[in-house]
Amino acid sequence: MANKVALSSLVTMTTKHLSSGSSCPPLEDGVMRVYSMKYCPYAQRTHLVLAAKNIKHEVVYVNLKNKPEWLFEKNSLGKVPVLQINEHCLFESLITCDYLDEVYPEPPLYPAQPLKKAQDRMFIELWSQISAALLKLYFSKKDEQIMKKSCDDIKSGLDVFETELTKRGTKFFGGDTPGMLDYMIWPWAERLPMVEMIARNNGVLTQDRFPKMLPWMVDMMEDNAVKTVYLPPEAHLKFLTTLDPDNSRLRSFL
Amino acid sequence: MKYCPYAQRVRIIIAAKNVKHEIVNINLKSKPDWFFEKNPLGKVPALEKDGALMFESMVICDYLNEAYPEPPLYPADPWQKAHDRVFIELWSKVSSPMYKVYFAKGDQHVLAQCFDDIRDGLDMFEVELSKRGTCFFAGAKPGMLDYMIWPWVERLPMAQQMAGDDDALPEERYLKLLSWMTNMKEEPAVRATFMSPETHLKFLLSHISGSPEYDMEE
Repeated sequence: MANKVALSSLVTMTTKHLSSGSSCPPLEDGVMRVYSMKYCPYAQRTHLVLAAKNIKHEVVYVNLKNKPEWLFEKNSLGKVPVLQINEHCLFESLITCDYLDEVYPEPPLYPAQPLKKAQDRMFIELWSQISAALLKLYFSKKDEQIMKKSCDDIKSGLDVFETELTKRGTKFFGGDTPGMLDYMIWPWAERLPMVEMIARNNGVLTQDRFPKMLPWMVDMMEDNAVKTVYLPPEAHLKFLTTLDPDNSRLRSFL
Repeated sequence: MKYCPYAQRVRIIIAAKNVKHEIVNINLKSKPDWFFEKNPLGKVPALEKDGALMFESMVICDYLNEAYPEPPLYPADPWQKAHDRVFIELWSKVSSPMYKVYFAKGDQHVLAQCFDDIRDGLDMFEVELSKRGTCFFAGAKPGMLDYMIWPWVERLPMAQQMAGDDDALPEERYLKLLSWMTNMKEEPAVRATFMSPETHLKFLLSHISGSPEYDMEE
């Protein structure tokens, strides 16, 4: 199945994943650019906010297994996402997203009240139980033990969000439309159906346990910003198999 | 908890903003049940106000900065503010190896590696402070970046002592940071929470031994 990221009208330039030895495409004054990797959930956060705010930008993809030297000039940690305008480079996904939210205030992605905003930021931090479990799943041998532990961690992490969404009584955490919290957690939520595919009996997304989070996922997939960055489970699985090419069990799900 | 550097961040901001508050210290080795009822992850620092509870030191400090706008602790320019937040993140290059020093059990090889890492991390901040050309990272007065890194800077002399190397952080390599440290120690918000290297060392040794003395006499 061919999977293409829908090139939205906001993206004015994009590249293949550039590697060591490549030169960095020159950047014109005043143009916003994000350095990214197509399957990186952290970079996907920045893409989501760029789309939600309708910001024209370039995308330069980098090969994270064979990093171009110039990436370290922009981010000494050598990670994506990096947001660049002129000589200014910002990194750490949350910092890039908060920056965009401040410079492009419409639509506002955080609640106006400081206490409510702080609660949302705290929930963004709480999601790390799920992102950490997914990271383990991606970068470890995908044996039954690890799969089961990862799935258990994902489920107990999701319980907290199920409770909170129920408490808020709204379609999204942000209200009638998605807010920063919705977008910041989305990249990993997007990957959960892929986990379902490979987890065999360790089902993660059950209706009885997540009666609010499951419809939330469906509603998020209708959101325009999510639609511009969305990759289906098969695409995520295909990428996962390239990280672990000797794993025939994984490839059997393709 | 009195000796927790993350909790110290919050106490510094509370002092900088002059906010009336109560402190409830938690025994982290034996957390009270009621604490988990309020705060399911049982973490400190935690801030409770108007029935809402939040944790994560940066979330709390940013909240306090927004709820009590004077004095403003971030630059007004969004890019400058984001740049400061990046440096707060980069501080982990110093704080992470510091933890390894505490638990090195005198292993010289580990200690040497840790101090290499600490020095590399501090170099970044020395360069940045020189670039800015101001007394504090924030300018003429300390701001969020200055305050957020302070708790670990306060613990650096103790880390040096533990490593048994008085020249682990050579003066000539950190001229700007050293005068910044002197200036920080004069700041009211820092003085409000400051503890001496001896106090830090006494607590840390009790912590390493497995019996942290949270209520010890200083």
